[in-house]
Amino acid sequence: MSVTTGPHRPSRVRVSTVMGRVVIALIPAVAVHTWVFGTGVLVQMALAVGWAYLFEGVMLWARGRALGPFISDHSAALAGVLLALCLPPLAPWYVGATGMLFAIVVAKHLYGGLGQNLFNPAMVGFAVVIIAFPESLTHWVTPRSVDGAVPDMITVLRAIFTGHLPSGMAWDALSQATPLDQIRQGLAAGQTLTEIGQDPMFGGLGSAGWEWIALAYGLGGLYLLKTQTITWHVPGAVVLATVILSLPGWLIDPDQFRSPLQQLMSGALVMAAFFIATDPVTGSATPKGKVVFGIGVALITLAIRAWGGYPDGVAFAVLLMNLCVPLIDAYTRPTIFGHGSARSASSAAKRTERP
Amino acid sequence: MNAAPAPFPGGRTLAHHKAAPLAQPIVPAPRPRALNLPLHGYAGEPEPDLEARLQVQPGQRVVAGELLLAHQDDAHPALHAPLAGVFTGLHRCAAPTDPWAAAQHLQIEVATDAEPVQPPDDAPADLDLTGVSATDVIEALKRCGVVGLGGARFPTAEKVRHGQGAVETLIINGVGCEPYIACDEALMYARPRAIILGARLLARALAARRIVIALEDPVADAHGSLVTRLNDDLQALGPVDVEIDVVQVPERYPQGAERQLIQTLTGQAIPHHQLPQSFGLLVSNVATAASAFDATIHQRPLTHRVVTVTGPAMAQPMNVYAPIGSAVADLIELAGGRPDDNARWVLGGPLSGQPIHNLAASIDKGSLCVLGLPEESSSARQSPLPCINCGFCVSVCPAQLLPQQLFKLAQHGQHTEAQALGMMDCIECGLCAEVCPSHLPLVDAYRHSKDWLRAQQRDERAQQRAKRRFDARQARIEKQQSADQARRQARAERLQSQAAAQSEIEAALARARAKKTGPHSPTESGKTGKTGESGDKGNGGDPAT
Repeated sequence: MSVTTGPHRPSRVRVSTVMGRVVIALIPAVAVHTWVFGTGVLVQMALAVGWAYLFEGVMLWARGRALGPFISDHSAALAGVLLALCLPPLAPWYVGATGMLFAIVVAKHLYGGLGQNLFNPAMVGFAVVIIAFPESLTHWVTPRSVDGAVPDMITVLRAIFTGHLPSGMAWDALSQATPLDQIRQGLAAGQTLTEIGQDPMFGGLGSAGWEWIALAYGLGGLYLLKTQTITWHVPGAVVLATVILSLPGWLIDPDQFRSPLQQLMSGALVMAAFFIATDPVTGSATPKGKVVFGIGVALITLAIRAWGGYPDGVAFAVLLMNLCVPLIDAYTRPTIFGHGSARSASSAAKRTERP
Repeated sequence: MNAAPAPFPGGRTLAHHKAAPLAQPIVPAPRPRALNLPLHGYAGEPEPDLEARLQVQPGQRVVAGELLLAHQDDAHPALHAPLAGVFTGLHRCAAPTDPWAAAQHLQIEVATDAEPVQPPDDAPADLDLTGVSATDVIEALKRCGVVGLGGARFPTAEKVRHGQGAVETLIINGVGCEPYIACDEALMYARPRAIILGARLLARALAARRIVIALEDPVADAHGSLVTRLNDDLQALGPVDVEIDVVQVPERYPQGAERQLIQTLTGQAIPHHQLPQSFGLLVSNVATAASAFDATIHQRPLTHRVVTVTGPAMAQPMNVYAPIGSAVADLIELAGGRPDDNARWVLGGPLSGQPIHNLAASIDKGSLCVLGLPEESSSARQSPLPCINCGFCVSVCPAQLLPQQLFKLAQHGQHTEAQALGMMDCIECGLCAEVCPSHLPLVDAYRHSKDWLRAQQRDERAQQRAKRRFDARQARIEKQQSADQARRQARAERLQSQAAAQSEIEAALARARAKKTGPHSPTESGKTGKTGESGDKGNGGDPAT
């Protein structure tokens, strides 16, 4: 007879299920991303996931941890997919490798592995490559919806593995600044948003191609909400805070301030809302804290977009909010049942009266 | 009144798994060879004055319902022999769920001709309760050893006495919210009138004006609606002096927990440091109400209870009318389970129940359910992974705690910090462990932490008591010393003058003479005089007196 302590009916939803659901929820975004930017996205993803498992395995071995249960929890794969989605599709292979090295080895395992890391691994990896390879990070492929074509497989593989384009091709022809970058440079040059917005790269909802990717992330996010993998708190707070924070400026001066829709539909804000800021390990534990965390991510992202040195600030926003989590948690503890303000005794007895 | 004004926070709707044991009427347990009645008072304290309260001698024959252990005070209820047989004495054996704690048991070797006790019939519809006073009810509860049958085993007489006059509404709890546990539903199907009449008797003892019978009615489709049955019986029993309502609450675990039920019914969260009585409410289990009826009207002591023996490991899940002290293994065999199976045997439900270490151990008045769950293959039951802070536990916690943080604190032995985060407010419902994707033994860690904190509180209280005693002794000694000092000084002053000294001496001589001429023999008186003298001296210097 075996005697073991509870849970007597352990949950069928395991850590691997949770991570797996997030990966599944990324499928629409990955599909749209690939359609918009070409097969480079998939190559980046395969490389990043490969590096992720390699580093994960090496670190588990180095730390003397069991390989089986931890390698199968899908958390390394998820970090790889998320980082790959942030990288330009034609970025050289070492960009992704460096990102994964910092994501898995430094951010995750040096802080104690699964469940112990303070900072979102994918965002640590991305922040490192933004700083280390600024040049590579600016070469974003022109979306299919803008020039009607994406690079073919040969171009993709050459660019990624050699860092050079096939002869006769130039980065200028193949790539362009991201809409966020374009706006930042345009505003710095004294242009109004109306003038900048004439460019076809801004599409229908704020930035061509990117807007469909954002919507695909939203779709995946709805799946996560539906399966109760995440709660509404973080995505709700990010989206609502973005709208509320960007609305007054846009209403006063639409030439200087971007519309809430454009803020949401360009860059990685929707991705962050559903997939990055919702990372449970590095996020707040309390429902109220999740709202504060989401508001913080939106606020810092918008601030970096408006005044910072980078076109998009989602990674830095998430990392900065990761720093604040202990403080947020300490101040947003839920009221324990029976510790709230009590109503008078008579009112309680009256409530059971027959209606 | 079906709507919930403000449901309790957290919780989860679970599959009830109750249809199988409710498919047949309550089964009387066959005659066991022996019964071991656990002797542990409320909250696991040892029974006080055991020798003095024991009403039978080892080797003595007892009849069914005979008093074994007398009612001590309201906190220590009486215990009766469930079946006829021979009382063989006190035995110390392991408790079912705790291999380390041995509890005293009263052992009865059941007579070979003892008839198994059948579940009592329901009360007749034309029973008249007039003439039964509050005192009658309370005395009957004491005499018959009635305790809270919802699991807490709190003596009902004491609960009622504390609530007298303060309670406006008596809530009869038929919300067997935990999956598999169907004993309350079985009783409501079998004895609705006994429950209603028992509730009326309790309400009379409490001087309560209203009764609310709350239930979930989980198998209404398969076995008929309990709400309808209870309402029909209310009609049949006719008009009464108290208002009685039957309220169906939503199926949501842990709806049957006292404070969660009050929240759902009244919208009031009872503050953690107060009892429902402060809000004019008292919650009592349906089985307790039925047993209050049996005690008051039929003077039937509480010797049996309905236990659900169920789970996938049982061939025939059932509700058993089992004598207190029945062995868990006997109940499992009765329901077609095999005790040697590699199953997970649980005393209680799948969420809040505790693993059974010893199948030979016996049930007590608070045992609701014996559950047999199949042991998963090792691939399904992996070792726990680290907490990933997913927050599933936060969203289900009915106490609104942060279970993952409490777990980490408990694991690192930071129990005082855990207490500051509300560890003692945990009701051990088990939902956090049920939803945890890392399969962490959360409740286990909480139980450990709470035990530690309780032990700490006990130690602190003991220290404070010791300190108070020490301080009082110090103060007493000082007082004595200063009094002696004052007396010595006074005598020294008196001896200063010659005349006074002379008269002192004469007085001493006179005392000595008086003693010599007394009734005692000379040697004895000499001794006495001496002792008196040295005693006088000693008093001044010895701090121990």
